[in-house]
Amino acid sequence: MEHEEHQSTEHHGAAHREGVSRRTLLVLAGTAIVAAAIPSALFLAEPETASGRAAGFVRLLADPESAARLGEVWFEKSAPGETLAIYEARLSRTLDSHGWREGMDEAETHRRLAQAVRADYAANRITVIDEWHLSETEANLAALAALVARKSPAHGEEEDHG
Amino acid sequence: MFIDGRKVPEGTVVETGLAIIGAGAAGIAIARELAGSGISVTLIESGGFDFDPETQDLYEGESVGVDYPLTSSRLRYFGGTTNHWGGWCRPFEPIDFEERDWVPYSGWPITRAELDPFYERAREVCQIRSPAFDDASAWEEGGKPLPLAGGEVETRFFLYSPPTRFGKKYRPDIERAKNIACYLHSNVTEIVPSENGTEVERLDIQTLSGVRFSVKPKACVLATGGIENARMLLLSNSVEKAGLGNRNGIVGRFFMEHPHVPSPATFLVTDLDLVASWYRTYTKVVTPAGNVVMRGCLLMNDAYLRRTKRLGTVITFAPSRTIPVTPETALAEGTDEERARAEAAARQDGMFRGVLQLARSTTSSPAASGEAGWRLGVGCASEQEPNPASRITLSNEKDALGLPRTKLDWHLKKSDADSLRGNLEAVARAFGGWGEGRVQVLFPERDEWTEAEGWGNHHLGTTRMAADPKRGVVDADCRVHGMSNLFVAGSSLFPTGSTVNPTLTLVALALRLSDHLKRRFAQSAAVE
Repeated sequence: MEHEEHQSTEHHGAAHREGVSRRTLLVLAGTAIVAAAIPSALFLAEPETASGRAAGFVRLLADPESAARLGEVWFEKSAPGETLAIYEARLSRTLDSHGWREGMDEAETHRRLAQAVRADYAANRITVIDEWHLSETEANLAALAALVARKSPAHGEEEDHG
Repeated sequence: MFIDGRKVPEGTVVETGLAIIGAGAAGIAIARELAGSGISVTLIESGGFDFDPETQDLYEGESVGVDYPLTSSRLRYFGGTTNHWGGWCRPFEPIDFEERDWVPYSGWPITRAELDPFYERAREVCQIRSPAFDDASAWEEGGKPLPLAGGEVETRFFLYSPPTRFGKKYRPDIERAKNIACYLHSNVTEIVPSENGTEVERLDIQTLSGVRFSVKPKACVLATGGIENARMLLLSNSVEKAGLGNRNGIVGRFFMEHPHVPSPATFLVTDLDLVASWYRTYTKVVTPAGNVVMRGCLLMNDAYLRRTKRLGTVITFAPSRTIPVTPETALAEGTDEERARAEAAARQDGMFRGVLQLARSTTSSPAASGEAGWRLGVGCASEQEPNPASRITLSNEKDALGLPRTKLDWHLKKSDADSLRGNLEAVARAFGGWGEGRVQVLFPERDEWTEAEGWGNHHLGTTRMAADPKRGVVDADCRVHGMSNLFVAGSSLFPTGSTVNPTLTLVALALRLSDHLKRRFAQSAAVE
């Protein structure tokens, strides 16, 4: 499986969640190999912008709440890491590779997302959540939904402003 | 003509052209083919026309490996196991007959193409009024095959026999045939060969009432079923101490089944209408040739099997229930147990909803109604790797005739489990890539497989065909290696088991053997 670069920064629990995004971005910015694969905008972005993009991705979901629950099940059973920016970066990178650009309308974004998911299945880029064989892109979306939900006011946590 | 063996005078010797031991699907199919041929045929059946517990008890035995029901998986009376047959028919795939370098001991001495004409005839014997096992266009009124992605999984079709109860359906044919005598309640206790063990000399017969008589045939077909065929050869040890046809120690080895797993996976689809009706249940279709009952299934295609070096799996499914967009209210009252069950069900539904809504957010479209989608129940059957350690031997326990009972040591291999798991993962990719479905693979990865979740009542491989006597018990003509006039019919011939039900194939092989026997008798008549 690819995309293992985030693992060393994670598994630190809730106390470390706030502020992790900024540190992670700095780590990524210093890693040339990884940098080549991540949209350049990400390195320039302040965390607020990143969260905006994450929120945009979550808005693609028909049912963010049920996707978030799926994401939480993934965290609980497989501990894949819980850094919002990583998932945001992964999704950006995946969609970029299918021709998506920031500002594309929702229908076009959906089309690219569908392409990305189908490409995952074709290439066996599968993430198993509770024995469900989902595309990596789908799993990343579910994880992002979970992490965004955690930060929502309704969830009782502060927004992460870095 | 039918004769009650219990009324045959003690010590009678019946001389005949062809003796057929066993009046099940194979034995009756061969006898019918020879009706009116001029060859005198003696059909020998252990049971009568109806189930009898005492006769059925002769099937009891020991199961010492993966637990297996030796008695309930077969029936011992006229018509044999077709008396409780489900009627599922489908030819084996061409790849099933090939030697596959990743499947030890694979490779039939005949090809699918050689068997094709006999499949056609077997279809008639099994009363199936369509040849469209692979042709989806024949069933398009019921819908189209799922456009699954990846080219690894294909839609194919089971066609159903009514099912033909060979005993009931073909009893009049046997009764009318002037050249056929069928002895009921007559158990062959040994196939006795000549002193050098190369030719069947006589069949010793005994009834449960104690009458003994014998049959002296010019040729003999052993057609007692996939377990009993091996037992009968092993029991025939007065001259050949290891049993007939067993000089290389292969008789009884390579026992295979079709392991069934009742819930190997969960399928979710966004819209049940996308799944053709004939996938979901037995479907009756009116054709010019008559009514046909059919059902769609999923098979792994041969390019995939070659690439992944796996064994095959066949998958069927049926609707289970809808998954609503809005969670149902949890049960507030009831016992703790009831509430816990309701909560668990709600959690499961939450997962189903999450997965369906994720699909609807990516490769599908948002729900237009209150339904997020459908859950489908899934069933499957798998091919087993031929395994010499999976075998039938003789038990120390004796039956009512004083003969050693069957001892079955059935084994499942890790490779069997690995293939099934891998194939389910391929199905998950196929559904995901299609976009309107997602799959939960419930069959776990296993280091060993010591207990079967289910089986097909299919007994395969114990007198396998092979051109080389060191690799099989019978040759391509179904003749026992090293013997001039002993043949075997039935699913015990299969060197590999495919994934689908065996009856159509064993009937096709029986019809092929019938043609061979006709030629053989014609040639010997010409010589005489």
